[in-house]
Amino acid sequence: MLNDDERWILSYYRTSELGGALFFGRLARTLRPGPIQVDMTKHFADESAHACWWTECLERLDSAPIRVTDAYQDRYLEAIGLPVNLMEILAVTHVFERRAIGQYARHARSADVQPEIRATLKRILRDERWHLEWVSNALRGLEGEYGTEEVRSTLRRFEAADREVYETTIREHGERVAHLLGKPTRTEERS
Amino acid sequence: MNTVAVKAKMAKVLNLNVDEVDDGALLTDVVHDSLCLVELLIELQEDLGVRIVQEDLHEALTVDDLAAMFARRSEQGTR
Repeated sequence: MLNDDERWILSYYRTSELGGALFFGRLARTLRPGPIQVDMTKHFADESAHACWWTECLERLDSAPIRVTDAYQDRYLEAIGLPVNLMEILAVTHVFERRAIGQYARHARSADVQPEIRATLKRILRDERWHLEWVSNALRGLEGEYGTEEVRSTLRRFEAADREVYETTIREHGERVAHLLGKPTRTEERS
Repeated sequence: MNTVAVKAKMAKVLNLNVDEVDDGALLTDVVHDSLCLVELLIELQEDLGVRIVQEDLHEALTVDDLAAMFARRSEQGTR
């Protein structure tokens, strides 16, 4: 069984994976044949699988997903504006994947995680590490076309936006995820 | 590639009949959501072999603006 916070967190993860899958699936349709098309297609397939694994994990723990209306990625668009070329899309993906890996790894390490959840996190992390690798390689490959400094400055800009989005998200939902951040919940502070 | 041809491409990506696309329409009225706009922009760049950056969109508010911008870039071979 899951408590409400756990159910919310897993639903949030599921929503984010679904959002990523839809995004990469549509983009994979538009790309020219080549290595980026191949890797982005696999990336889309992985994100779909991750959404499926979260759904199954919730079900095994006798819970149903909560409808979460705004995924982490939606807040990115508000913070960074629309990514309009392939380099910007890969840059925002790079930043997002790093954040996802950090969050998932922290969750997997936290003391009271149920085995089902930990197993799902570790399974997803194996894919996420490959995601970061292929995107990093693709960005390096685009430096010739966009310029090394443009790629790096885009990454810096998106990293700054990510920090802002993350802080806002934690402020809004901190109580639900406090145990993952090693912070006392308000209940613990009061006792 | 000229503006008319670019608009035809835009209509195809947006799954619209080209006659249904009003030149003066705001992009935000024609494109369903931001992901759809990203898809359109990437498809045009891949198809025409041109590249745009975020700042370019500040001046491309309507269908005609966007088509004209891509047509210009395509003719200049700007990547």
